Amino acid sequence: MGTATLEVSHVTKRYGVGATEVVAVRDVSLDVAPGELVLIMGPSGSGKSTLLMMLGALLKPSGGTIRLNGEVLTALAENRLPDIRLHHFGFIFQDFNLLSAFTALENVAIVAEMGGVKRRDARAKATALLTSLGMSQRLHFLPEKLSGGRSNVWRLPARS
Amino acid sequence: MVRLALHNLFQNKVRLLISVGGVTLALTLILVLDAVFAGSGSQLAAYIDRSGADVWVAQSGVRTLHMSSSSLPAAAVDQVRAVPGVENASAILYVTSIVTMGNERYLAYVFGVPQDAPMGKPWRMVAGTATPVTGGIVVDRGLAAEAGIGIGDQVTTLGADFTVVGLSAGTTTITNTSAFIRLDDFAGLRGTSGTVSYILVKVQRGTSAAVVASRINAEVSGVTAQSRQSFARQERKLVSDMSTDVLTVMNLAGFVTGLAVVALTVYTTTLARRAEYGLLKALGARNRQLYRTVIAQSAVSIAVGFSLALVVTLILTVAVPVVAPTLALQVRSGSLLRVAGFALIIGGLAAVLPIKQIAGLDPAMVFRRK
Repeated sequence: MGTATLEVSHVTKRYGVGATEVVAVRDVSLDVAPGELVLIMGPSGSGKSTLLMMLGALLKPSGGTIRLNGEVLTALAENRLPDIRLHHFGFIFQDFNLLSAFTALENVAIVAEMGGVKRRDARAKATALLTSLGMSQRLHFLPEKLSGGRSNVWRLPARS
Repeated sequence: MVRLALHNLFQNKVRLLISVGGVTLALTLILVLDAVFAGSGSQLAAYIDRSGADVWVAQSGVRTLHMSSSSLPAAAVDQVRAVPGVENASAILYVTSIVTMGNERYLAYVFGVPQDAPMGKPWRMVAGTATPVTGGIVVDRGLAAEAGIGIGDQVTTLGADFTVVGLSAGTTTITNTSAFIRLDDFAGLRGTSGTVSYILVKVQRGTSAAVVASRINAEVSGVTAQSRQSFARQERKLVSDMSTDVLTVMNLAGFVTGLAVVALTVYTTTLARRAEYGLLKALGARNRQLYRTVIAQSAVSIAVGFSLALVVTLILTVAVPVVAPTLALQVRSGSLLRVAGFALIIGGLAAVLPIKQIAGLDPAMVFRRK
């Protein structure tokens, strides 16, 4: 993440209106410093995923603000969020969420390619990354050929 | 992203087969039908092209052979011969009639040709003579074989019996055949002494056929003279005009079929990968990058389908005349361009729905369990 600092201030997320309204996240505030590891824990349905979606610029809060390096994410136009996600966030999902038509190498390299890195460079970086994780023998495996744990390793994107 | 499109398309062989096969079938339908009509037009003008005449002279206002009736005074032949630039002029009589060979009846262009005529005779003979003697007739070898007759056998046309004296080749089209008898026999049977149908003109070496045609039009009254190219063009246009409605309907059918198949395939491919497109959005892919994937899938389906359709059509242009000698297929560049244009439109339209599907995808869907 480099020098990125995440500042979350009084963030709330509501779904629905009136009688069907559900408050998934209520008035959450937290700061994440560079290099800091933060664990969010709570029972099922307590709003962890909703909070993570908002922190990752995937979902707009109903109230409050989220700042990334001083920039207010919650005020950004929708068309600016893909760049924020691409260059500042990495995700490991509950489900494996891999591109089934792509090999391990291609799944990792595609994020860098989306960011404008040349294909050859992206593949070299992805190869180095996967090799460092002990997956050099499986670079050209399709997702269906890999175990669950290894599939999640693939989801670590090779960034620019 | 284009690579992703190719992977998505080629990973599922059945889907690929349906997509490309559907496009191939639809475009082949359009191309082959067009080739059939183009071939027919060419066949229909074969006599004009191969008669040996540089200029065709007809009754005033008559510009075609097919579905036309032309009557000129026999004296016009000498008047045409006297026009500067004319090397030779020869009259023919012509009528569309039935030729009965054995138990078979065929619609035919029956030509009456002078025995010593340098033009207007069958251009390719496989047996016998190209110059019918009195009471003799030249018929197409394919139909003669079909009817089980040969040289020396009797056929009937214009209400009289004729003896087959020659077998020609390339003189049968999808619509009719050509038969050749002596001009005198024709005139006697039809009572057309003193008149001719067309005058075929050979121009002097180094003289333009168009210029001579203009001179004939200016100097001989009651005639319409055209260069061979112009006359053949009119003939082809007539066929083209007659087939326009059929072609339009079939083109539309092919277009709709192709569109439906490609659109459905690209749409279902996109739908099947919906979660993956959502994942890419979550990772930071912009909509336009994902649109490129869909468009590439559509374009590849269309390009492969078009190429295969072209190959199938070219194979058919060779194979069909072998199986059905009366049918000739001709692939024209104009037809290729038109079908390529159709294919592009199909590809573009087929990508619209999937693009709408992607545009509406919520990247947060990747956090929801499937």
